[in-house]
Amino acid sequence: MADVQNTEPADAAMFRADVRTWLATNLPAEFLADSPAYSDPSIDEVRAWERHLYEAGFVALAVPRAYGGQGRTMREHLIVNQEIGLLAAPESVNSIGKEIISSILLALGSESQKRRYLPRIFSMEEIWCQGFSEPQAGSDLAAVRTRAIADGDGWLISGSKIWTSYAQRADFCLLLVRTGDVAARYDSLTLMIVPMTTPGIDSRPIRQIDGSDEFCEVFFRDVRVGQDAVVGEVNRGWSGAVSVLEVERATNRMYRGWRFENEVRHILNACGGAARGDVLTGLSKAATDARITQLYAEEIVRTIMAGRSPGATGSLMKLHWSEAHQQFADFALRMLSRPVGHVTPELARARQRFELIYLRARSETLIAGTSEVQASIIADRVMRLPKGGSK
Amino acid sequence: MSGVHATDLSDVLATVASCAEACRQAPLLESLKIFADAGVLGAIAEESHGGLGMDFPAGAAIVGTAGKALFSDSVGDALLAVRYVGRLFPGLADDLASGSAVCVVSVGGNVAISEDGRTLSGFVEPLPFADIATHLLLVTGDRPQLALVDLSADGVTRHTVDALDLERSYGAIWLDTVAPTAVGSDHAAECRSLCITLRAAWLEANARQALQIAVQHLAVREQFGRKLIGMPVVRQTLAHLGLKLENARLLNDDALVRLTGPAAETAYATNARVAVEVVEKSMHYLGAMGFTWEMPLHRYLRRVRSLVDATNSSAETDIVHLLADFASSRSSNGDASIA
Ligand SMILES: Cc1cc2nc3c(=O)[nH]c(=O)nc-3n(C[C@H](O)[C@H](O)[C@H](O)COP(=O)(O)OP(=O)(O)OC[C@H]3O[C@@H](n4cnc5c(N)ncnc54)[C@H](O)[C@@H]3O)c2cc1C
Repeated sequence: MADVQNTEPADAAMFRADVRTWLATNLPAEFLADSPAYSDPSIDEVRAWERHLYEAGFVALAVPRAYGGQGRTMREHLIVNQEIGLLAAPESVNSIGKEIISSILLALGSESQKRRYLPRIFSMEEIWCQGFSEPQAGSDLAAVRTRAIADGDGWLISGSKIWTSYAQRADFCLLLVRTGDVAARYDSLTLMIVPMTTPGIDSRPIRQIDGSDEFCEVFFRDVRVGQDAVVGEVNRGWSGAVSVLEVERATNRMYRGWRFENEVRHILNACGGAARGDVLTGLSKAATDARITQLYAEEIVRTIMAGRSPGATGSLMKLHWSEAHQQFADFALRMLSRPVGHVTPELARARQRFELIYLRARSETLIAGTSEVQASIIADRVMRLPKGGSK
Repeated sequence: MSGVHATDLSDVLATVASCAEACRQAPLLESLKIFADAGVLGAIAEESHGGLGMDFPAGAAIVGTAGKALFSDSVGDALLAVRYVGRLFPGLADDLASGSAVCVVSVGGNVAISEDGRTLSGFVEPLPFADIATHLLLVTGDRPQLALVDLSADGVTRHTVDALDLERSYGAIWLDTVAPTAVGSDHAAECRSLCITLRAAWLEANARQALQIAVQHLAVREQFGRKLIGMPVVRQTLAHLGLKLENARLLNDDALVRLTGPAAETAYATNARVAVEVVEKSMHYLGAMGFTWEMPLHRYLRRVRSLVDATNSSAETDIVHLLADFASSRSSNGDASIA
């Protein structure tokens, strides 16, 4: 009577075994952040690795073949995410393109946009960035000021975006722009595809707390795009932007719960494979939190496969994961920083890995809508709390 | 906020809710009879043993529905007893299903079975209604055994223990070389996991009810010229409590389907922590009103605290086992459920 069964279907088990074997053979030990052989792969190396993954058929699993996908289901998508998540593999340098932009193009893009852009996103030929946030439009994204003015058979874009990840390396940007009266707020926003080589674009990398320069400030001065740049309808970009954010929270980087598990295992191994006292307490909590993240992802996949929208479940998962993972990163670093007589190469590797995880985790409660924004969504849409309002 | 419950369960839950309504003021034995007459107590017992053959998520839904509607409920133990006693000692199953015998279930005590397997000695954790029950079903040992004890047997002593709970008396039971009515190892591990998972579901249901009371209050209470529920900080805190309950619910659903020891322990440990926090915070949000005897919040707090404090569950499952359980979930069910 429950819609959960107790055995993995044979085809899924076979697929899982294929993925696992392929990864064991093809993912170099130097790319694994929990391996003593690790040597921080360059962006080009990661890009080549992701292309290899695509050629093996393990990218865009649930996307139709006509658009460069594998034409399989979310179940296979989940399995690949689980198996990759369980390994300390490098983060994608095009997850924005492969998971966020592709979803929005699939939902709102024209047939020619889908055929032109999607295959090259998945094959890593073209990297994308997402230009939503602006200096004055953070949590309040509908305050976007970057403007596109109709000009002949196209549009002229002026303004600036900020915190745009990978802008300096991206081939295209999905831009949220104002195409009407600011007062119309939600009803005057449009999504546009902008080639990053178009004259008038200036991307300036901003150094992040981990020393890298992944995000940028991007300036647009009379940047010309054609009518075919518009995704969906003019002035109807807000609902598209909202669904981008929903995807970002629900299905993007679905491996997070399993990567969390990989990190817990790494700490356990660094502690010699056994845990007692406060180490046991911290690891049990972290393992449970990882499990909860996994269960949310599985619930989301079940919902999608039943033909329903995951709605605000992504907000539950995002809020849980980001806060729990930050706590775990803090705990892990404390454990690894305890004084020991002899620092083994394994311990040194673990420290380096978790220093980076700790720093990067600071962004997890911000990206894809901050914790406060997620909590508001949960209050309104999951718990359906009465609004209250003024007297 | 839906779980893995089936839709046709709603009829059974409606029956449970009306039974709970009917026995609001009734003493335990009478209320068990009302549930028994409605056929609820055999819900998770196999059809071959005269039960309804419903699955464990359904059992948890029944326990939750009864738990939040009825302060003196003991439906969880009754469901377990009918299911497992039916296998171990069918002679008693009819009495249990009809509510004329009351069996409490212990999975966290300290009871040893003699080498010849004929007697039991030790004590069980304080259990609701153990002071008035007729039988005890217990799971004990590293290689778990299931044993049924007639509480009128020689060597059994019991007394009421102090607990915060006002409606469910708690009893301690001591066994001194007591001959059990029946012993067996079949399904002992399953019984243990199911018992703590049903308790987890009961805690979750109580916590949801307490939160609901707080939300209803905040939706009408005005301060600073506006409804408190409209204040961002209040909404944020409520959302975090809602998130914790959802997290706990996910672990419960997972444990109910897989019923492995680590999954059940994890679900219980999380629900125990979350339930207490949610009820405490819900009480806080009623202001001084929540501190009054008339408001039911303290009753939820008392019953939740009493069960949590009495249940001897290893809050920290061996981490190695826990991670191994995750790995087995990938190939044996869990995520793979997505068909
Ligand atoms: C590493 C990283 C990568 C990013 N990549 C991209 C990208 O590729 N593309 C892109 O468009 N954006 C990107 N962002 C931006 C991200 O989406 C924003 O940081 C986020 O939306 C928050 O906006 P803000 O930083 O302006 O904070 P603000 O909105 O100014 O918020 C500041 C603080 O106030 C809180 N706050 C705000 N409003 C409320 C409220 N109503 N109630 C309670 N608290 C509130 C917030 O939660 C936060 O803690 C990235 C950010 C980071 C850190």
